[in-house]
Amino acid sequence: MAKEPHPDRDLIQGEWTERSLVEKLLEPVEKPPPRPWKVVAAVGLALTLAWLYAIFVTFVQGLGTWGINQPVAWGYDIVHFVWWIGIGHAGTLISAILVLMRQNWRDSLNRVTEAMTLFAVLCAATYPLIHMGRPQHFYWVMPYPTHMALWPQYKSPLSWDVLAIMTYLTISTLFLYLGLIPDLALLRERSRGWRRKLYGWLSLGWTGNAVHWQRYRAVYVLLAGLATPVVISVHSVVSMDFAYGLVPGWHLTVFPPFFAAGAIYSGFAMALTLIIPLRRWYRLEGVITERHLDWMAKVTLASGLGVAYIYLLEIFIAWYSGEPAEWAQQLWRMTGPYAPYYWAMMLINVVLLQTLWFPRFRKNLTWLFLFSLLANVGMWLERFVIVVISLSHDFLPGNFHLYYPTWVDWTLFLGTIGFFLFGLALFIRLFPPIAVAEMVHLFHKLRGH
Amino acid sequence: MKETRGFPEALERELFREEFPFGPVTRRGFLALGLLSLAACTPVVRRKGVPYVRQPEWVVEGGRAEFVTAFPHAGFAEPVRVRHYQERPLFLTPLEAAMSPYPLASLYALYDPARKGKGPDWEGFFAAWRKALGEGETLLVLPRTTSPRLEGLVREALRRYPNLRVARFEAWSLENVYLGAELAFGRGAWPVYRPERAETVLLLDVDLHEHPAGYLWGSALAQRRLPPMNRIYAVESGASLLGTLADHRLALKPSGVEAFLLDLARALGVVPGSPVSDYGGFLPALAEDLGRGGVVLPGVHLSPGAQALAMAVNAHLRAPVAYVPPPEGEAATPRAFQEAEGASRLVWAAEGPLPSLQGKAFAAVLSLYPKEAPYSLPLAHPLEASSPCRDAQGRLWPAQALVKPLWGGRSLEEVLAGLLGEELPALSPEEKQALAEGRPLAEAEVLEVALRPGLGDRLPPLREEAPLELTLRPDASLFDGRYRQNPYLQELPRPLTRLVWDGALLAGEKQAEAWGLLQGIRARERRADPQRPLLRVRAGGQEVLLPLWPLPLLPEGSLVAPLSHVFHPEGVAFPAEVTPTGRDYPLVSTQYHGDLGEVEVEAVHVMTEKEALKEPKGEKRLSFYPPWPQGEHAWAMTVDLSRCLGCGLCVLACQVENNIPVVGKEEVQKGREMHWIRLDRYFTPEGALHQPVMCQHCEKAPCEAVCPVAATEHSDEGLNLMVYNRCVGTKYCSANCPYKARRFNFFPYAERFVGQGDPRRAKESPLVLLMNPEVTVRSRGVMEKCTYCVQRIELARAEAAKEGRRIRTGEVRTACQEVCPGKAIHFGDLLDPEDPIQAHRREGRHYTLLEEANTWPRTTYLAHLKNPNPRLAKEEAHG
Repeated sequence: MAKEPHPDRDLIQGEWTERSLVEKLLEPVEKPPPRPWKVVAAVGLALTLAWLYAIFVTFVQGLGTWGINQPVAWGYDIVHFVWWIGIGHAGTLISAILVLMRQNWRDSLNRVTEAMTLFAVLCAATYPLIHMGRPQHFYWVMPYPTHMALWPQYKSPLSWDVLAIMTYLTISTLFLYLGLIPDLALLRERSRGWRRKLYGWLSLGWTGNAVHWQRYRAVYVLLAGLATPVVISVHSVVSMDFAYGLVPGWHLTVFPPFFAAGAIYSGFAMALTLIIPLRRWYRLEGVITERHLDWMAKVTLASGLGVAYIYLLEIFIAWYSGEPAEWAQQLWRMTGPYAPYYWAMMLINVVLLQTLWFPRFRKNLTWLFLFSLLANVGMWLERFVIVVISLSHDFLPGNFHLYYPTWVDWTLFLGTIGFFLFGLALFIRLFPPIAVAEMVHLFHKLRGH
Repeated sequence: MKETRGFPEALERELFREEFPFGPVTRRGFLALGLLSLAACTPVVRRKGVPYVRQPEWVVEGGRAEFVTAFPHAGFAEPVRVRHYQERPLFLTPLEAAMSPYPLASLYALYDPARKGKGPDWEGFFAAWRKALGEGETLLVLPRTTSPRLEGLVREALRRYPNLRVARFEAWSLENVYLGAELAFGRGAWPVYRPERAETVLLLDVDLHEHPAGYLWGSALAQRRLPPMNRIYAVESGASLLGTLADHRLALKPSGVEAFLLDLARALGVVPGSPVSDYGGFLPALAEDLGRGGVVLPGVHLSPGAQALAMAVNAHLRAPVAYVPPPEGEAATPRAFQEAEGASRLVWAAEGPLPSLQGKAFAAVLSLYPKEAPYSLPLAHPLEASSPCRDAQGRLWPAQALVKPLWGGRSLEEVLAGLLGEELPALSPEEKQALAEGRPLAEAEVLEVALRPGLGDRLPPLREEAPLELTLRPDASLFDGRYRQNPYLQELPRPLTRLVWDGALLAGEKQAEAWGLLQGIRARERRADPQRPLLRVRAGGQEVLLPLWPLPLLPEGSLVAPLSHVFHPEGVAFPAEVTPTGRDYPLVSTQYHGDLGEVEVEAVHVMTEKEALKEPKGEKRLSFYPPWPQGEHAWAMTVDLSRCLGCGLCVLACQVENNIPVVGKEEVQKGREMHWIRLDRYFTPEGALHQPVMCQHCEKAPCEAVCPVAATEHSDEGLNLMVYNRCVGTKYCSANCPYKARRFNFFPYAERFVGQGDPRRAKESPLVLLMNPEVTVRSRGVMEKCTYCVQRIELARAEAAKEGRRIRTGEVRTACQEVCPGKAIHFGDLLDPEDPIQAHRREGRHYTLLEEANTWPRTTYLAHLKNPNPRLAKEEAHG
């Protein structure tokens, strides 16, 4: 029976059989790693160790080793917390929302972005812990029964944060794990020794029979439905840390959509940063096609435009509100000692973003990769503008003070990048970076089987 | 006991359970055993200590006592009340209107282990001294002393030891005042001013800490900054805090100040001639105003001629000033330093710089802190000594030692008595009576002086003009360097510059521009870079390196350097030459001096008397949250900015009372000073303004809402409480405080402070005794802030409860309130109809800081009042 060719047929390019496709997708796990993997893992491990040292220094000597002060009580810690949380968003978006929208192009991207989400959220979650003055009492922010009947103070957005991030971590971990189960079973069948044991335990007795598949699909869609609000809620809740505050530059009702858009933007930018080299190193051009990257660039553009719009809106509102402190803050951003940071942010997230309108730029992988790096920097700058620049200049001139990060601040940041890269490298070595079962499924769907 | 079924068996089991713990073990039994053994792991600390067998007098366990004594600063008595806690002096308050910060800060020196030298061998020292006196001329250099008993001992020693010579050293000398009196009246005299009685006051280059009576003047003037107001004019070469009170200010070079005084004397007809200039209308307006009951308050460093002129002008004005005999037996001068350098046998007992001791046959140094010297002997801390001395008004105050000398120190009187082999008498009944009643031992003898005619002809030349004129003035914190070892004072921001831990060369902005340094400094200020150009200053044949700090209030050509960092034996005023060195030095200020951007400063309201009469505007109060339950009291504070001098005594008192650590220069540079009160300073067209900002105890506090662990809470009496034990240190409260009144312990600051840099030494340091036992010492990682001295509220509550009454009006006084020379701070109860705070809050001057933030603060402000002369156009007045 002749059928219409599937409209998304070119999402898998090249001559494949099911067997060769599976072999290809399992290559990162089963074949010896390519040279760049070793470099990334080594650099990542080194930075992770430096990170642990910086945490050790922080715990032994105190928060004074950081650059924070009065009034900039939150510095790189919160900048990077928000930055990492934002990066985590692409994974949830791709796994949850795109699955509900039946977007076929997500199938080759979801695993690596979900893993990215997991490690990004882990990196993010460390900051609120170590930025506490007395981290030994971190559990006081969680609701647990105590003899003094003391609960967290639920008027504080920080206690909302705890719940939002823990939900996020749970859901994204579950999602990642659930998607991994068929692949784990496949790996179990194909491996020997400790790997076989590991995959055996993790695959939870998956045999691939029809009942398993039917329940798997149901749970997957159900989880996607549960996770969808999280994509919007987590960063909205994080934004309330600021929107709830009185500080000029924070106190804006537009923050939740602003942060959600920024999170998706930065998440996709980071996903591009990871996927473009990955695709090259593991020769995955056949399954992660230019069309995939084009789609990602389009989502980046769409969410980036939302961010850019709010940048301009912020300026307008600061002027239109007639609130002297707000307007002074805006001018401080644009002309104060931190002006280069502000204008660099505007250049990347407003001006350079516009290149993604043009297919020529979207198809140029060098530019796309470069832009994705720049967008990460741009979003870092945005968080710096919001957290540090706002705090350095609030209401009373007697409060004003600048912020200079220390080596500990920098090491903590580079350390989380190292942990992120090292974690991802290990993940790719142990678990297929592309969902094999999904791809095989897609392969048959596209071929009209 | 009721016979219940099975009860005896149960009881028997309970009491004689033989199976436990070795028999069949139940789950519960096992757990109980486990927990018991865990409990047994806890070490039992047995504290040594037995109750007193005989209760020592005055020792009240856990109780407080208060004593009066006179605390000498630079020779002048400052009568103080000392608050004792179990034999430890912990806090000082002025007995009369005001005191300087030095007595209070000196509590640190009392417990400072750095004072401990080798065990002093006093008898050995006296023997060596007597031997030196037998061998040849021996010079004893005393500081300024106003004690009649000490003078008697000196006379006796001079009589008994013909080889003894005595010189008096003081870097900041009062000699010119005595010389001026001799010119004017034909005899040495010391003027005692009553500036509160004058309608017009002219401040001639004088500041709070530069005159022995400065703080008293500040207090007196501040009381007249409320309607009906006095009018203050300031003519000065530096930038003084007293000058910031002024309604009109004229900045002139030091020579210009004296020339101005001469012109004023001419305009008033005190000396013949007519004024050279009318100073843009300033002089005639001032001369007219002075005619309505004025007084001229001259700085002590003005030349003798200028002093005489000021006295003549005051006599002409019938100003409220009385003359008393010079309080010093012999004027202490900086010249004694050279004498000491030249002497071959020296006993140096003065404060400030130390002369070279090399090549001397006999050299001994008597000082509070041990020095490098063949004989270094400890002087007693003023609280360890009972030396009566005179205050700035010439009254004689008795003093009593409040602790035994901790490190074997002796007072100067005891040293001289020791040399003579005499015993000092114990406190006399009169002294005891005076101390108990808190009054002086003897009033000052008022001299009948009359101006000798023909002053114009006798007048010695006034200060000559030079392109650059340098004055060396005492530092507001370190004075002439004698308080350099006091971290409290080192970190107390200097007036106007807000500098800490350093001394700088102050120059006007135009002057810095003329040197081509202003642009570079502005660029560095912008990025908060502390490096400032280091200048080579040549003056009086000496050369010194000083970092430059431009200050808007100084005129071109006038330079001010702190005596604590620059000393010259020939005086304090010199023509100077300045060359840049190309090097830099970090200067740390607590206030960001960079480009502030477009800030509309409405923090300090400035009004005229007439504007202050209007009704206060009603407060709009909207909140989503329900009101707090109201307790028995509603604590609140008002700060009257019209009476605020910006001196920083509140900051210091708060620090001493509340165990606030000093953090050091580097930490201040990072913006981490711990002072609970931040004294904001603004340079505005109306002049420099000061505003103490501390926790405002908001009723709708932004900090309370954002704490995730409820570590900061609201009390039903309106206090914004900080629960240190509960704080996890997220710092969100600080970020969200619009006043930025919260301070965070980034490091173990308290332990570092007590351990003098090493937190591990904290427990064994005697500075532990400095800590107020009624206030928690905060650990690393917690937030802290002004508590409204909650410990004092609780103490008053306990006292009231014991006596079965309510807390009386004004019974609770905060530390800052007690020491404020201007009485600018008032703490009270909004529910008490008799509390003056009601009237404060109804005044037209009353306002809320950052009202738009809708925080409903309990601490509110009263606007700063100015009383400008309508004859002087605004722009000319502040030129």
